[in-house]
Amino acid sequence: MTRTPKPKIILLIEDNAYVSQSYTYFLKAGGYEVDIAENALEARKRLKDRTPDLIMLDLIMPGINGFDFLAEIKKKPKTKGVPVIVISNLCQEGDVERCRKLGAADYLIKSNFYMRDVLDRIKVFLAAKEA
Amino acid sequence: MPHRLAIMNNPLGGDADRGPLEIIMDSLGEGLIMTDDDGRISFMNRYAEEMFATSEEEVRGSLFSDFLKIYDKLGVIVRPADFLIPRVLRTGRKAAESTFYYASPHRKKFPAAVTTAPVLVDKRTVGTASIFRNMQKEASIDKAKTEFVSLASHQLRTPLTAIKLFTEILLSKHTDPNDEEKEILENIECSNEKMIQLVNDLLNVANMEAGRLKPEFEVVSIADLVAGVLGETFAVAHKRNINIHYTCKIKDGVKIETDPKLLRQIINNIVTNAIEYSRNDSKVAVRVYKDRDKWCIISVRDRGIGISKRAQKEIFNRFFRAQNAIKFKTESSGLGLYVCRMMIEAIGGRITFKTVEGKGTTFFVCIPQQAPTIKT
Repeated sequence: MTRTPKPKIILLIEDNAYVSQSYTYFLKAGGYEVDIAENALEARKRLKDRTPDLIMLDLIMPGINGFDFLAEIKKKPKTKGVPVIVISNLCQEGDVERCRKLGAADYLIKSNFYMRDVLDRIKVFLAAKEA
Repeated sequence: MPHRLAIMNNPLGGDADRGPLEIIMDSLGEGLIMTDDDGRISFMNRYAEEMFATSEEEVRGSLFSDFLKIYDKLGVIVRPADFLIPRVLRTGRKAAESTFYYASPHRKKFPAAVTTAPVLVDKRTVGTASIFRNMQKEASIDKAKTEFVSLASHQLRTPLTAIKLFTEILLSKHTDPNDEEKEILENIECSNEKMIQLVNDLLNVANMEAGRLKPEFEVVSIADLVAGVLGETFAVAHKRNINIHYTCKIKDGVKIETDPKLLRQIINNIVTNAIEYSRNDSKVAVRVYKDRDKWCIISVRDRGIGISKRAQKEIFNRFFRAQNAIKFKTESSGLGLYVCRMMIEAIGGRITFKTVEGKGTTFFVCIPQQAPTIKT
């Protein structure tokens, strides 16, 4: 008897409802369980409930911005090992570099990526985490 | 004591320590620096002294390069041989430059527009006169404009991302659209991608004009890099039955030092242009070779519409589109070649072209094998 593997959990932190809706659609279609947060405060609550296998994080959000929240995630022992893919439409080299230094696994400029490519990247990071 | 301007044997000079001419020159609202025929400073008006935080006494007899550092807009130091003064002394012709930055020992880098003219006596060049205008204020306005473009681009990208993702959902196998719906969705997707590209181009321009484009040099195989880019353009060419013919005269293992990300964008842009302005069922030839000076040349030849004589001077200008190009293909931002030229210059290269209107164009992207070494 083969056991169905437990679906991986992805925490999606994105304030734009349309982007969040479409990302969720594809992530679910890709077989993932999705926790959704509109901002960093909500994300904190989701992280208290359970630790995801991967986090997708927007940068420009009301309240705590994505840079500061990334730093927070990477400081906490419970979440520091969770790969974070930054999803943003900011595209200055300085922003990318800052996220890398803060410990982001990847940085995707949302408008330049099809979701099929995003799903491929997610697979890579989850596989690397398992290995 | 001879008048300061008499050093240049200027017949207009007087004998008094501050003659009327000197007073007039000191009263100019712009910096004025004069040199002798060796390019050594012989006169500096008050405004120039303020501008460079120096005194005429301190720099008299010096070359410009002794006390001034000049940077281009990317922050790369300009070689003294490329300063305007030696050029004007060599050619005897007036020259102007408005994109450079100047720094003296007591004054931080600031932008200035400079016009240098030969001082002629009996048709002989006996020196130069340079007028400097501080462009700090204009640069601040330009910076504000750039910041605006950067912010606007980010804001524009968000709804474009949503359109992109929703279209992708509707086109995905989960929703299974019929053929007609699929075609409509693909048209939406295509238009949206054009808009994203335009926003990206605008942002690229804003970044480059703000001097934010810092090339990252790596050692790469030019043959592999070009082949990789061409692979991405085959699909578009194939749709219009345009054959891309690639010849590489550089051995497989040969590496060059360049910014691969920028070079990929440059080649992609030039090849895509060649495809877009070619007629269906034609050919685009891409060649990679070294010239006599060991520069690496990537030439892209099409048999397309060509560039008219009138348009040739302007094709690298921002937002410029030639009349025949507009007729052939209505939609385009007119930013592609402008962005390309800026990127090529950033990696120390240059771009030239040969064209015959109605018959086709060949672009030559010339890049050094090694990264430019003098950088800030």
